[in-house]
Amino acid sequence: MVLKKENFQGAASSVIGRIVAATAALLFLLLLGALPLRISGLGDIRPLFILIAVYYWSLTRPHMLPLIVICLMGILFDLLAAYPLGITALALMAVHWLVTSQRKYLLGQSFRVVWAGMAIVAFSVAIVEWLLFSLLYGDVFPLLPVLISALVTTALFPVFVPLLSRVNKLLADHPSEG
Amino acid sequence: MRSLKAENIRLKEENAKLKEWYETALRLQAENQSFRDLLNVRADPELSFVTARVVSDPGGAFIKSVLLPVGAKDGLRKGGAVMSSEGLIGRVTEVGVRSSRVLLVTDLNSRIPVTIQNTRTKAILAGKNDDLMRLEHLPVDSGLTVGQRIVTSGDGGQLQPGIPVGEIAEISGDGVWVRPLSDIGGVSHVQVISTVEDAGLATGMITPAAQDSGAAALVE
Repeated sequence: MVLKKENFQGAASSVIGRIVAATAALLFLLLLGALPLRISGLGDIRPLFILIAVYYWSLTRPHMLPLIVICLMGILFDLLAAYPLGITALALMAVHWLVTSQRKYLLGQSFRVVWAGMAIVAFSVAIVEWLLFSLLYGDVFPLLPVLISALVTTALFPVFVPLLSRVNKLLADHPSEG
Repeated sequence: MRSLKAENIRLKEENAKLKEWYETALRLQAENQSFRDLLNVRADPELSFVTARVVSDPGGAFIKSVLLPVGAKDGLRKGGAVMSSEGLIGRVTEVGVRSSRVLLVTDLNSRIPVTIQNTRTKAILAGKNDDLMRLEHLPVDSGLTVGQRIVTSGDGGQLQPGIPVGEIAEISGDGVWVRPLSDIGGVSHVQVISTVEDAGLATGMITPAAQDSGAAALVE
């Protein structure tokens, strides 16, 4: 009985540990994206680092990212950026839903296809955000910096994947889901 | 050697011109002071400054704002002007205990009452989420030219008058466009201006009400 209890406690703490680690990584990427770049003429270009992590973990370990964590991270980003509350939360949750629904197809594909998936997600989020902001503020926002930001986010995907997979390996004391 | 000589001559000429300007400035200052004394002009409110580092600017292409690690505890108030070493970059829109948000002048929601420095024409400077800002509500035939400096007018009482904001960069069919004096994307430290509520009390100046009561006390 005692052993079973210990196993249960171990498994539970491991699951919690994974969620905490993923949340900490998301928080780090969120804050990294909010740091001032201080590069003259590049002020508008903001790669959405957190999108890379949400895409990656929705694909490899969806249970490490509960929807509530994604929602809270989105709301935190909206608060930091003074965006209409919930806009990033909705975008990130939509990405999570989209990627988990296509997970079985994407997991069997080469890295290039997965990278192309990241590009589709980054550009879709950028264009939907641009449309929502233009509608909300009744003015057309410059589209080019938004598209360049999506391009930079896509280009940085291969840089972040080894780091995120290292976090995966560190936490991989149990077989992955699915 | 020849170029050094030419440079020396040019610098001497420039120095002479600057001396002339200095004399003019001194004369105007004295003249201004005497007019103020004659008219009993109330002094501008006493200003205090807080310097802070920009810690975050996450808005990207949609919202032009920055976060500062100073807030109400440091004497900041909503609406205070935020400046770089070159000029105005925005104003405080939200104040927390130890942090505050600054809406930059280039944001789509930013509207700054301004004056064109040499013509004294008043207008509203509107952010367009782009590098340039647009002058709105200009009178017809304002006689504007590229390069004219734009300063805050102080209308509305939120910002102090005379803070440099930008200069006219382009006059085209779709409006007059102003380039900010500061490199807004590259600013790392800013100065937040906060005003002492009643300059009269702060400097011990006698207000009309105080003068009346004082006179009454003297009569008694």
